[in-house]
Amino acid sequence: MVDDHPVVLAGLKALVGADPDFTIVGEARDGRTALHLAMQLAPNVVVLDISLPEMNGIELAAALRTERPDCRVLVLTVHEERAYLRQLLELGVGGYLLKRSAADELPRAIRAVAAGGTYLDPAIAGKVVGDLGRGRSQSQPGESVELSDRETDVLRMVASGHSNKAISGRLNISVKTVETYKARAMEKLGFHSRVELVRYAADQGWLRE
Amino acid sequence: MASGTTVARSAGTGWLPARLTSQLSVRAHVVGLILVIVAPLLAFSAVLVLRSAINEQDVMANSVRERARAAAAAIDHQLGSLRSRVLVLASSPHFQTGNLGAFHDQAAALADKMQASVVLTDPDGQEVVNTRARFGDPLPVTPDLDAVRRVVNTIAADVSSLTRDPVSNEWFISINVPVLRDGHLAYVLGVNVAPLLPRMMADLNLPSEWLLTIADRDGRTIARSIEAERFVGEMGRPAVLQRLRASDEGWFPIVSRDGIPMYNAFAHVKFSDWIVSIGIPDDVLFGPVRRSTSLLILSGGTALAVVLLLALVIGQRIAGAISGLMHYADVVGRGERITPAATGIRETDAVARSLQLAGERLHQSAQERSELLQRTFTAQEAERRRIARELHDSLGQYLTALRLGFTAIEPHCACNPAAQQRLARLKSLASDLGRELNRIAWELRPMALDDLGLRRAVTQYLEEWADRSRLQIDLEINLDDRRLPQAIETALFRVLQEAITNVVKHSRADRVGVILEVGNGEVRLIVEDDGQGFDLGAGQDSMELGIQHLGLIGVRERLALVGGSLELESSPRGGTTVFVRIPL
Repeated sequence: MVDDHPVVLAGLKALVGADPDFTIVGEARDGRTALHLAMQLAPNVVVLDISLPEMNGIELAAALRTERPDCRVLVLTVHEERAYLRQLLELGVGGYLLKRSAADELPRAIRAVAAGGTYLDPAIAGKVVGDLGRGRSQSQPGESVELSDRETDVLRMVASGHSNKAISGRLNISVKTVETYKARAMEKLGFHSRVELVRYAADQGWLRE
Repeated sequence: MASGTTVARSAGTGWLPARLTSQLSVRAHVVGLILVIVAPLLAFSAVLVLRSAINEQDVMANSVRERARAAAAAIDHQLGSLRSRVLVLASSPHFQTGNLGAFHDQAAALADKMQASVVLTDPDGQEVVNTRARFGDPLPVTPDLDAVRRVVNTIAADVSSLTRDPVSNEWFISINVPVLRDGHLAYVLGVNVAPLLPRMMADLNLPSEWLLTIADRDGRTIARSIEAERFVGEMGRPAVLQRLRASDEGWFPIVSRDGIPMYNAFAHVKFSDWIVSIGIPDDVLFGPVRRSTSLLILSGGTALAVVLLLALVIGQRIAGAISGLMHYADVVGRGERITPAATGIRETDAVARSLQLAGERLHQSAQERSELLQRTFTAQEAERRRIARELHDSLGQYLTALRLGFTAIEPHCACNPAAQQRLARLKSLASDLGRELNRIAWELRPMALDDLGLRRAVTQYLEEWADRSRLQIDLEINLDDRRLPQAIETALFRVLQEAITNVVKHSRADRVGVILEVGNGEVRLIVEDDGQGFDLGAGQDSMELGIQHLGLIGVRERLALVGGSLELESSPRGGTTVFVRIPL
């Protein structure tokens, strides 16, 4: 069990220790000690906090994944933001539990993780969705789309983050003309936003040049 | 602003209409000033020059009148001396003896000496002796009978009209005197002075372009200094003759017979009643005035041109110096420093130095302000971070401990339903407290930004908005998985927060696109919405107005601290795009 806060650690130990299914093999109050102990003691499950001195929970999870792949990790944290959740899931942790749910859910979560499953705190599980607005299909226009050289020039510059005014300066045409080229080319490609264009540009290899 | 300037200026210079003052350039003022000085000088000198020329003209006209009078007197004198010689000849002793042959010889000798001819006529007009013919040859009746009769009647010397000598067919004008024998008029003796006239005229020594004309008592031209062959013998024009006869001497303008306009002075010869006229062509008479006038126009024009050129150059120089100052003022207005070059004008140099000083102070205070702002932002973020951490790590942990404690005593209340209920409510309260704590901490400082980096923090932030609002959010992040300097990450995150809040609050957009990418040595954040947009206008400060309109001034200041810039693009119903660039 890893937590830098002694009172919490004590509380957690009391909660988990009360359950006959679990044995607490070691405890640590910073990331480095935790990793050291995990290497020595080879626990089935490591319950860890994210905010830790020396080495934080994310780094610790990453280290455990490479050093002790057989060791399952349950993250116990106050962070409700899914950014943390997503990052840790990418690092292969088995569970993510909010501290405010810990009193009720910790034993169940440890059990699920130990069994090789995944436990996500119900309070934030609903928030995990796929990539934000990634309508990849939209940014793949038909092969038949033909852009004029000028339209391509304008779109390339739009895609590389230039404003209409900057483009008008670079290509020596008026801002209105830039707007017209841009609107026409976007319509040909069926795009509604700059984001779609940027993705398209990346696929076309425009941005590497 | 423009109208304000006009009002101020019109109040300053009361003697010029405001509309005019506000539009005249420095150059125009200098040119005007110099003209005001130079024009009267030029006019004055023109008057002087013209007056002296007119003087010269008057002197010439006077001298012409003088010469005409003198010429008449000289001719009178010559004719007088000729008359004396003829009178001497008339008292020749050969008349007493009646030997006309001897008289012929005597007369011929005199005629030869005078280069003239002598004619002796009887009272009836029959020529008796003619030095142009041999003595004894038959001679004609004199062609000027009137003249002979005048002498016969008056028994006094007289001058004939111009006639042609029937013997030599030459022009003939004679001084006739009576020849008396025994107290009776026997003959009339005449000397032809026509051949002498050219010499008489030459003796007057007149300038060659002056026209000397002598007319006889009838008004016939008997001598002329120019084109004599053409005009000698011609009758004068009646109108001219009338004026010539109106007084003994005088002057009037005339067009000569050759068509030359002239100034004509005349005088009468007393003895012969001839009229001597001296004409001076207008070209000659007005020459001085004309020369002066053209000289005046040329030199005045040149002087004026030089002066105007000078005025333009000076005006240009002043205007150049002033527009240089304007440029400096613009630069200073932007908060930059200047190193003014010398303008060559003391006043503008002084203004430039003042501007430089003002620029230094402005720059310094701007720098101090920017440093202060930087420190404020840094301190604020640090403080927020610390408080957020405290909330999370300390307060949050105690809360967790509290809840764990509640769970631990749960079994002990199993027998008391009221206590159990109470405990459940307390646990729920602690839970709410935790959630609230988390929210407050997040708003203070998203710790994900420190722990996970900009990419995840931005993703997370936008996901929350996607959950909370009906906005469709498209996000494209390409940061090459690198962490940017903390100040830049914080600035970008705060700018994004501001921009998204704007979109949600004002734009009425359905869709917002966010692009965050690193490339070309800079990080770019573009936030584009498809909302109602607004009219930025076409003016130079349109962007500035747009930034004010969207309340993004604080954002720009924040960006300026990390060297970043803010650009705005919007059109009515065409959405709004915010471009942020920060060099790395």
